[in-house]
Amino acid sequence: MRLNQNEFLPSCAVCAKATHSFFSILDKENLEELNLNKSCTTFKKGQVIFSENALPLGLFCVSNGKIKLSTTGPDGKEQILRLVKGGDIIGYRSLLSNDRYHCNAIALEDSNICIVDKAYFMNLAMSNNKLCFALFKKISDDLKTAEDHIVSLSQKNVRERVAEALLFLKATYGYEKDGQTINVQLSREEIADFVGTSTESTIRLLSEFNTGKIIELTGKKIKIINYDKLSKTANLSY
Amino acid sequence: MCTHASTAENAIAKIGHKLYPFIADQFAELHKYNENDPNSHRLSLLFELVENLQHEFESLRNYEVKLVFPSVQLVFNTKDNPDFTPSVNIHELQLLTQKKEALIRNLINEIALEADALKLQKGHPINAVIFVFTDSFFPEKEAWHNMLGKWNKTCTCFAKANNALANQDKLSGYLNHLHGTK
Repeated sequence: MRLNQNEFLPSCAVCAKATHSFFSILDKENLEELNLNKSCTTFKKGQVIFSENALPLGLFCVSNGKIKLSTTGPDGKEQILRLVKGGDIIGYRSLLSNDRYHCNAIALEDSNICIVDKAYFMNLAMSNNKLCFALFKKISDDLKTAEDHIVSLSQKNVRERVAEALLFLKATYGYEKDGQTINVQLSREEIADFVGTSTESTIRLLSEFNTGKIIELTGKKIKIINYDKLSKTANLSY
Repeated sequence: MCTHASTAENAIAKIGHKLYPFIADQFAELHKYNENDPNSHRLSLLFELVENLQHEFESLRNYEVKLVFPSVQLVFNTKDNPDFTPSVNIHELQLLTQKKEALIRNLINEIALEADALKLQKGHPINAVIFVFTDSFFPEKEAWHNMLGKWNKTCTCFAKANNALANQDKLSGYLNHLHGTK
């Protein structure tokens, strides 16, 4: 981290107003004090702002630019956790929990970033009710975003599993004489049982496949219109 | 009755009635252990992988017990019923289950690496789960697939099912052609 490189030094009062930043709830006096407890620097596009497993020394406040927070999955692939723009803060989770960073922060474009001193920020958060509440709200919003993301991931998984169930049913019962309709009529509950999900999710996903012209639904009959697309949706090419 | 039918019955009983319930018990033991372990938060990533593994295992078990094993039994039963021709595609079912098994193998490898990195004790139930998959599940499944592959080439019951399938494909191809040219 580069706490002493004051390549640019925007006034917190001006920046907070312009970007509706996290600190915009502070009064003039607090903003002036904040000015004295920060250092600012410009990170070039692609430059690492902080790295996974490093210890936090301060709070990063993005004046302008775009930042990517990402981590590496078990398969070695990069997983973007979220994107951050001007006015937002980063690195507060590790700071508050006194933990190491769990992700990398990388500038997606040339970005001006201020680094607020750790001890000063912790004192401010503990003494200023407004800021403390804003911090709670920020963490709650992030938690909601993360929870929504988990739901979308598990939904994707159910989508794969519904496609997989149709492939198994096709392989087991074959087609009717038209060479497309699966030669078995199962209720949505029975298909849901194979998938291991709720009937509602199964109905919704079958309907999505129908709209996407992967299958065609006529009552309990399921016609596979696009087998290749169904195979790809099942994601069984490990 | 086909001479291979009893071999198939034994293999299905071994996998479906002994191995799979045993693996399910290992998962249950693991969850009991995790609930009582005050340091379980340290293993959260590992348990996430184990959860994926269990999900994938239960899914495979579901398809095999409900669709694959009965389909294989059905193919052998045609010997006693010459008029009956099943429309099952054993080869396709085999490919689908093998892909799911490949995913299970990847998960086991990841879990083993993570368990190793965390220096888990030898007696930890996660190691027992890894062991049952590497020592029993994969060898049993390999033997099962080898058997199916062999029967697919040599068994008359499988040949009958495959011919029926080929004729059905020809018929549906012809009908689709007619439909397309109308």
